[in-house]
Formats: sequence, C-alpha cells, structure tokens
Amino acid sequence: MMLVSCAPTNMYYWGNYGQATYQHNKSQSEKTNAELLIVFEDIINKKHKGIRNAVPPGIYADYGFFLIKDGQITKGKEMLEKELFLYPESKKVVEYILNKL
Amino acid sequence: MKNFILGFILISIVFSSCSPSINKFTAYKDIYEEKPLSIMIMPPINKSTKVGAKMGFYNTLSMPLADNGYYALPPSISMQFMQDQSAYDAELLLDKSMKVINQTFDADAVLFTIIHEWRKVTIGSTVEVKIEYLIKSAKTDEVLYNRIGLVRVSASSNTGNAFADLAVSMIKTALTKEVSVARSCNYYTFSDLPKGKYSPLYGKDQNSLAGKKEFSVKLSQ
Repeated sequence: MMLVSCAPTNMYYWGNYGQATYQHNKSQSEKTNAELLIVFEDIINKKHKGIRNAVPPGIYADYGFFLIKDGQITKGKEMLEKELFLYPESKKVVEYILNKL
Repeated sequence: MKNFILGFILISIVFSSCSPSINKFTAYKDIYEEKPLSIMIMPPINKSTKVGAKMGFYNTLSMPLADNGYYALPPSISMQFMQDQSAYDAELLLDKSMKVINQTFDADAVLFTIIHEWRKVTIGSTVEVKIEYLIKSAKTDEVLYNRIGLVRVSASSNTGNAFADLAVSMIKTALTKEVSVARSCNYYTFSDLPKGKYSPLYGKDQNSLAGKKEFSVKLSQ
C-alpha cells in the first residue's frame, strides 16, 4: 500500500500576493487596491497556511496599513494588533503607523 | 532520487570549481552569531536599462526572506517610511550607517539589492539578470551576507539542476514575466541563507555546504 503525505511543503501560503502588489504599485488604481485587499483576505482566511500554519510576516500589518489609508480605521487597527500578537518584533512598525493617525 | 543526486553533483561542480567548499557556518559566521530576525527591505538599486525593474523586484523580496524563517518588515509600510524620509534612492544609503533603522523599527538587518543587468536574450524565451544581494547588520553595520548571481531564466521545462528546478517549481503560477523572473532569482539565491528563527531548520544548517559568493545558474519556468 502506498502512503500519500498531505503535509504542506511551503512555510506559508501567499496566494496571489506577489502579482497583486506588483500590479498595485505599477498602477495605483482603485481596481488594483481592491484586488490587493482581496488577496490579503484570502491569505488570512486560507485554511491550510503551510508548514507554520500562520499568516506570513507583514501581511496583517500591510493589510491594516491599506485599510487605514482606505478610511477603515477600526478594522485596520485590529489587523495591526494581530500582527503584533503574531510577531512581537513588529512593535515599532505598528507604532509607526498608529502614530501617523 | 537519481536526478536529485545528479543535480547535486552538477551544482557541486559549479560551486567548487574555483574555490574549496565551505560550510554555512564558515561562510556566514556573523549571521549565526548575531542571529538577525527582522529584516527591512530597501528599494532596489537599478543599474540596468530595464525600466520598471525596481518596483517589480521590490515586491518579490519579502516572500523568500519569510519562507527562510525571517521577519521581513511589511514592504508597504517600509516603503512609506522611506518616502517619509525622502530616502527612496537606496544607492545613497548603501555606505551609510543603518543603525537608525534599528532605532526606528528594531530591525536587526537591512537588505540591499542591486540589479546590475536585466535583459532579454534573443535566442529562446530567456531573461538574463545579474543581481547582487547584500544584508547589512543594523546593529553593527557589518555585511552579513553578500551574493551576486548571474541568473538565466528560460521558459524551458528542465535545467537538469535539481536545486534550481526546485526553486522555480515552488513558485509556478500565472505571474507576469518580471515578477516570475525576480521570484525565481530570489528564491534560488536565498536558498543559501542560513535559516531564520521561524524555520524548522533554524540552528540546524551550520554544516550544510554554502554556495559560492558569485554564481551563475540557469533556471527554468
């Protein structure tokens, strides 16, 4: 009988992050901004997140940053707090954004 | 398994042809001693004629660092900081002290990248890039990691190099050419980086063979 492993082989799930951030930085349009927010949601809500089973470094923080720029302050702050909880080394990065509010 | 061994032999020949093989602890002693965790990514320095290479490349750098166990500072927030400081041109910062980054963000290190070449090769669907990666300590300003790769990324399916094919197979998606080339190059180059705190291999790879500081490799897509 052959055993088949379903264990993840990548550290994290990134979805379409690379492409979406590239397109957004290239065009800076409402459309690319909306697409990027969808990609963040996809990464965060993905069931199988890779070997660490965690949202990758920086995703909650950048998502929170984009939400705050979009006027969604409360949800943006929630995301920054999640980054801080998951990655305590992000403390000063999170403070930097909060201090700009 | 046979292909893997063959790939290993081939890559060993490439890496050992000009200098004796050394392990990662010897090659990257400062990284093992300083144990950097958080790395800020600077805007790439584009010395090539490829317009737009800079931003496209910037967006591909956080993923391989994270996948190797590091905390890559959020790229969009880092870029905002650079713009706030009117410091978008990383070339002007290359020789400056990075301790301000440590003080501002608690970052342990800073990643600089220099795109020396980025061109299409007319024969076949191939892009040739020469990219330098340099990680500086934000605590001591010492260079912790420096590799220069001449990388040819082709549309062919197999290079015969198991490590190179693995680096590319990890990222096979419907990406634009620029993003795909950059990611292939980054993942291959950083496969030699000692694993960071979030990797299951953290602290266990000192005896692995290190790649050469300057290398050339063909990657397929």
